[in-house]
Amino acid sequence: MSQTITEAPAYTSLAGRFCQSDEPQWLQDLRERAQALFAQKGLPDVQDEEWRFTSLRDFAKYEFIQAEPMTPTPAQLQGVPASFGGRRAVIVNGRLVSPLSNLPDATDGVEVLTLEQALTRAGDDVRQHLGQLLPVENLPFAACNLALFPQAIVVRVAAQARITQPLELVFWTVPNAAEPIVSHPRVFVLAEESSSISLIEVHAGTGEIPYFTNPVFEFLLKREARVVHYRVQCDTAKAYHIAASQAIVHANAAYEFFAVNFGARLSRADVRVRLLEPAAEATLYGLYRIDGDQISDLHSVIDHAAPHCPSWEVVKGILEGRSHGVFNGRIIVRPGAQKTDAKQTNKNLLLSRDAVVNANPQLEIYADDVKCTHGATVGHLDDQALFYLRSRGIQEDEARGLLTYAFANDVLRRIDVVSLREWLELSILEVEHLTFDRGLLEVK
Amino acid sequence: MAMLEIRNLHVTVEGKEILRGLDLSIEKGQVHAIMGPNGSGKSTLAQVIAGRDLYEVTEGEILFEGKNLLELEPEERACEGIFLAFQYPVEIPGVSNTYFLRAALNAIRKYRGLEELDAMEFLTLIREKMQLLEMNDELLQRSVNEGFSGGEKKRNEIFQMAVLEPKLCILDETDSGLDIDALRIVANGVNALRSPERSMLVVTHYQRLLDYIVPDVVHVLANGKIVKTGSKDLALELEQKGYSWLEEEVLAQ
Repeated sequence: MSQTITEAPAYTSLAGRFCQSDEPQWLQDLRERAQALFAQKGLPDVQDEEWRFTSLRDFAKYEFIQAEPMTPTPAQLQGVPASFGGRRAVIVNGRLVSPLSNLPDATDGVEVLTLEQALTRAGDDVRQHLGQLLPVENLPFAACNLALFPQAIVVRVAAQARITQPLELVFWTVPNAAEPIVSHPRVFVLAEESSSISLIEVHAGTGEIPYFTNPVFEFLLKREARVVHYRVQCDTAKAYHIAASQAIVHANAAYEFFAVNFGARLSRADVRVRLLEPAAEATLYGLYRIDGDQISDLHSVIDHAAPHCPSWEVVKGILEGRSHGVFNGRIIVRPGAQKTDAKQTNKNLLLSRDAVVNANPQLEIYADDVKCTHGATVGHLDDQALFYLRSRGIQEDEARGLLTYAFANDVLRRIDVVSLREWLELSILEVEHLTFDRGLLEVK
Repeated sequence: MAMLEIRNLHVTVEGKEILRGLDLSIEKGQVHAIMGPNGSGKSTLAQVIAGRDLYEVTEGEILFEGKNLLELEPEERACEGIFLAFQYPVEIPGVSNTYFLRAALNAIRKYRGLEELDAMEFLTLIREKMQLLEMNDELLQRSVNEGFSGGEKKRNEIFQMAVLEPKLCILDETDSGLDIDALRIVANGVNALRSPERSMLVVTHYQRLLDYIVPDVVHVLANGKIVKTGSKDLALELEQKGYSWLEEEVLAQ
């Protein structure tokens, strides 16, 4: 059933093309290893513990080819989300398109760099960490990305810089009518000491043709850095989206992550955070809203490698139709990571009889003075709450919509970027057929 | 014609009969109190009138302004002018009080053929009503009942009642969990809403609430039926003697 990359001619030809000889040797070595790994392991199937609930059977029918550089027409850019008020990079089919972007300049305290530029600005960190923060041994698609990514984007936040406007990375896909395409976005975020930034990562596309997006993000947070990472996946209903990210968090630094999933036929995200030094913090919020035949699979790993680190994780799913949600939340507390305070919550709301959820908390604790809690629930809308709303005159449909919105808003209201929060609230309200009224939505 | 007319009402929940042939008639403008021991069916009655589908009506009828209530959905009953102040108001994290209340008010206005209120008109209206219940802005911005104290929840119920201006108000154990100050505020709010056009059904276990909200008629509900009806003095008598003498009296009949 499973099909390996080497059996798919398109993948092998691409691999050859992107192992370019003008790249630094360290990167060529990484790419070769990653390619060999992927060629050896191939696509995972449901025998693989990590992919038990998410079948790639449909995905494997396609031979995705790497997108060629292209200049999108205005019509092809219909639907690109409007600016959230910050600087932005627009990446079409995996490549940065400067005319569509509004990149920061050096005076802003944050830079969006190509690999070449980054090697001159922060050579040591780039050489040491790019492609290496996220181990790809058990992540075949991340290995594929490492082997094949055509362009790396390096975001560097200067030491002490407190960036008040969010930086937006908008990944837009214009599928190819002749052949389904794949893009391998690659981003390395380097947050220097005591820097602070909000980063918005948006994935979306146009058209009715299947495509595949395979992004990998690596974050290095140095001491006392703070990064808020918003990730919004609203790819088209025909798209496949398989993402991986890794954050390495140093002493007193804080990584806060929001994963919002609306789109894609199948989406999978492997989110990893490693709390490397004392008093590093991780906060993960997840929200998915799926319907029809959609599959949304979130695998998170929070790795407590140092003492006195708190982590907080809340993942909520709303499922309708015959959709399928998977949450696998792993928390590792390493020997010596005393005074760890980890809390994980997973709540799922089923709006139909046929939707399915697999929730699997995994706690691996190797220290004895820690506080770790987890809880998972799967349920329907609360009858009592529904009756309460209806007893006030609200129609049953609207009451259901309002309660569903409330369930989602419990996550969305924690988003600090107002324009982003309102955009997401609006998206949810539209799905629930409710009207949006900015003045009344504020919940404190 | 009475505003609310209940005839021979039988209600079961999970196969167990709770109300066993209850009759009740409330005229427009009147305040009726229903008292009774725990488990007598007081809250069941309140919820059945509002349309909770947990309860099955096996016999009898409920007429509201001549209309058969049992054919209407809970939201239609609300739009017709029925309001239930819950004994245990529900918390809805993620929806602000204002959003909720405006959705409710506009649904009711739409049903009655009135224009929906925009945000500004709505806020003007609720500010006025808030003073009635001595509520502050901060409560409005919070999620519905989330993290409210017992007293704040009950106040919020009466506040909603003030905004939605129902014809029949049903207060289900509104006094439970209130300290004396909160009770006074809630009762003042309720009394401000008394009018010749509006009827009230006050369900309570204790006489205390009726010192503040003085009823026109007091009924005693026991074993699923109204066993005694009288003036407000009946409540005082119950307070002194408890319910047991009544049960004996009923058994003797």
